[in-house]
Amino acid sequence: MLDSLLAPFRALGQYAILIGRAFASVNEIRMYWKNLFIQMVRIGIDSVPIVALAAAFSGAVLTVQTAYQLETPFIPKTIIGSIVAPSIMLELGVVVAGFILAGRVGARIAAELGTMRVSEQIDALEVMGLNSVGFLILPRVLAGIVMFPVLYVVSCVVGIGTGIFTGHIGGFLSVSEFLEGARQFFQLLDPFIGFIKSVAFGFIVTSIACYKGYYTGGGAVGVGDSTTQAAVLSCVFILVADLLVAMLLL
Amino acid sequence: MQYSNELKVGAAIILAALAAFAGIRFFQNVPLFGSSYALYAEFDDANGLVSGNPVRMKGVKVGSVERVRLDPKTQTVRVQLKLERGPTIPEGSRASVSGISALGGVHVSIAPGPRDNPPISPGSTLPSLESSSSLGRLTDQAPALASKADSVLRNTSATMATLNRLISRPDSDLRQTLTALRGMTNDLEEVTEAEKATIRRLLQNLEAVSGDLRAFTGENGDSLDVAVRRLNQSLGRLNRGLSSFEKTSATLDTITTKLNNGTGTAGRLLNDPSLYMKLDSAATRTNTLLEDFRQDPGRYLEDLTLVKVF
Repeated sequence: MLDSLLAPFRALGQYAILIGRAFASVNEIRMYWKNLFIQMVRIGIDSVPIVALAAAFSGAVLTVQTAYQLETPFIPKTIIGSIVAPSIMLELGVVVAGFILAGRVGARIAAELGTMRVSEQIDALEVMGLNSVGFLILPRVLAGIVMFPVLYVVSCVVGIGTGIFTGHIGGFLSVSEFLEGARQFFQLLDPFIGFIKSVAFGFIVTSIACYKGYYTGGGAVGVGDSTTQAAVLSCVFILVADLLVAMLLL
Repeated sequence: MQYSNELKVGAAIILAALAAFAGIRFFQNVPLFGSSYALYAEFDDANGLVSGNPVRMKGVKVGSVERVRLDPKTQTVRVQLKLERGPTIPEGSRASVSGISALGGVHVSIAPGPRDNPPISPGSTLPSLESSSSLGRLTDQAPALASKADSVLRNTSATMATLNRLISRPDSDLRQTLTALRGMTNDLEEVTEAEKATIRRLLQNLEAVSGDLRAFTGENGDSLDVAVRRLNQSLGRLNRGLSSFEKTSATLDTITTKLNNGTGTAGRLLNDPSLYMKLDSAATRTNTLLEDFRQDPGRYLEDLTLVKVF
């Protein structure tokens, strides 16, 4: 009973120690250099198409629905632009990308590390005298922190571009009206907060997936459990972190 | 061709950084490679102006508001404007805040100076054009207008009260005047009533007279016309006569002047007394001669006897 109550705290401590160990080996990063770039390509560049697709649809849908909601003669059409562009920069661009990547990247990392744990490859690395935490976890977490902002930029550019395009094609508002509205209320804080969120989400998705994968136990079922939990926990903590960043910085 | 992972990642990061930089500059409405310049403007009231609002000249966007700051010393709002290089703003231009902030349409509008002026130099301050919008002017004047309207209404009310009091008091002048006026009106009415027949007759006579007059004019139109024409001719002749008379009188005037001055024969005659003296002496002598003749005619007749018969 007490054990199950204390389980979250134990998990949090285990997680913190693991990530701490990973960052403690940051001075050995030159040894994992090649591995770091492999992870960056797998986490970042391979995710560009799916992130762009999700951003395109969210931008288009946001524009159409905002135009539908603001269909009164008293509100100038430019307001649609000044709602859609900051919304994508602040929230949609980064959160939608975060969810997509929690599924795509988080599940992949957890499955990979879980299988390595179950098939005792991690033990083999340890036997070879390699620092398995530094070798396996640090490149993935660093790749997430570096590549999520890149994906955030992709998401924003594609999302706002699709929003403008949809507004124009759908006859809701012209390109210049959209841009005038977007420029009127543009603040540097909006993309800055989006950037901070993307860094946070990159860390959350990769570190949780690494933790879940690294501490997988019990065969194929354990790998499945780890993968599921990695995706679900990443999504939950993305939402929590989203709220925290918004409350702290806005 | 196979690219290395390092190249892919590096290219992706640099592209993303460039896209982010360009996007931010794009939405800040700054031309990508810094061809803009700063101007300042000062206002009494920012009217809800915030950074990012457009700057318009003749309704065309020429830049954006960079920063809005309240100057604590002068209590004025100092606004930094970022303007594009393209359209030049001539010297002598003025800036004003227009639009209503509730509708999100606040902007700085620049009223350009004369076209021939040289372009304004970057970093200078545009003077403000006060109360640019009629709505703003109306809002500024509203309290004064309201108080004026109030005082007018109060005065009217007091006047009405006095009038009311005057009318209601039976011994007031106004009331007596009104009573007298009513009496006069009644009298006039009675007179009109009594003399209705007379007035009607009078009017009928007048009508008949005017009808006669019209008939007379109609019948003798030609004769009248002839008479008038003749009168006209006579007047013309008279005019000519008068003008010749005028000439004659001018000539006479010259003659008189000459006479006065003693020029010409007649003038000498008038002005020279010697002839008179001579005539006078001649007359005296003739008188003496005649006297002599009367007293002793024989002396002369002797010589005059032409024929000595006896």
